Amino acid sequence: MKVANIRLVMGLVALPAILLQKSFIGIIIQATYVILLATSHGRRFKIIPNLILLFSVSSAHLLQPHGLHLFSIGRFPITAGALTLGAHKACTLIALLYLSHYMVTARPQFPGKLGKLISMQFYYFERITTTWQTITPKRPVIKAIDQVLLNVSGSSLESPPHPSKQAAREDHLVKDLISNGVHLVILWGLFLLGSLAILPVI
Amino acid sequence: MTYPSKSRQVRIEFVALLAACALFLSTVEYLIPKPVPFMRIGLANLPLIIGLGLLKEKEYMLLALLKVLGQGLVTGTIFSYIVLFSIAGTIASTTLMYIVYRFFNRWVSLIGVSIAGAMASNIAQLLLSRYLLFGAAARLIAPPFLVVGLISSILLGIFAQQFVQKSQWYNSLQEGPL
Repeated sequence: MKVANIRLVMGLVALPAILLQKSFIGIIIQATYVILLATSHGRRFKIIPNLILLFSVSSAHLLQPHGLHLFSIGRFPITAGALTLGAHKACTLIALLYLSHYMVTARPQFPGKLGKLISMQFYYFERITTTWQTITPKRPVIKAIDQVLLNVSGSSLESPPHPSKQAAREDHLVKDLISNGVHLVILWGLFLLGSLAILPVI
Repeated sequence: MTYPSKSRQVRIEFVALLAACALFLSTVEYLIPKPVPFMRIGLANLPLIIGLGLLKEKEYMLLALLKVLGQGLVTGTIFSYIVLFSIAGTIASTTLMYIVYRFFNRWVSLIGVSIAGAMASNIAQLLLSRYLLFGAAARLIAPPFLVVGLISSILLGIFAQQFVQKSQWYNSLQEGPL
């Protein structure tokens, strides 16, 4: 297995543990864990989009009241069941999002023709962003984009895209396997704790 | 590299170039704050609109696929629910834009094509959000979502129209059949 793909495989194996989590506490811990995992590998955590997601999904579920009636806003009942269900779903989505962030931190390589095409796409992407930085002025935008495309399409692929720093990563294989194994045990362990009702129920 | 060539490799490289352009524009868009995570302006759709006049059917679909995968990889959302919205929106919009451009090209400008694509994309995403996120409450976000989509697609259509008219790069491609 390629080093770059270890996190990808770990994420795919961990997905069901998050998707099938029944405990609300369990999903909160899992979400926190994958957020820490992604941020410790260079991904940024933005609080506002996550709060918006949490708020909007929870609010949407309030429209279908069920469970304990907490209080009312005007004639609109706020129920604990709907609130928990919405928050649980939002936490699942946030956990999946950050798991996905973590999965791509090692720049996974896709096999076959599609993989080559994606490599080619990223090669041109790098060329475009590099050329864009050299273009002045950047107004009008159409002229600037036109200039970039003329420059980039003016030459063929100078060197075939190649897996970046793969050789340098080989020595991390064992370390990556062990650490990702630990992540898997933790995420599946939390799933089991939730399924067996060992975690506190809200 | 001369794009008007019929060489398969050159054409594939051209698709990769357009997909890279979509990626570049999507990273620009990623930096713009959004009120709802999956709500997008659609800047990355510009290459899809431009590609309508340059690519064959299969190449156009390949461009759409590369756009979704590349965007997911750059933003790190490829294995999350967000990519489902991206796939649904892109499949719906590219299919409708292709049909509108191929069969109604005489009567519909790129602005119309852009509006059709945005509406198809937004409706597909709204349907998905009904099952994935909001349930029946999805109808509450539909009006603002569609209005924002309509406005941004008009702006994008105007931009695409201007680009096609003014771009030296685009016009050099038009000199021969791609």
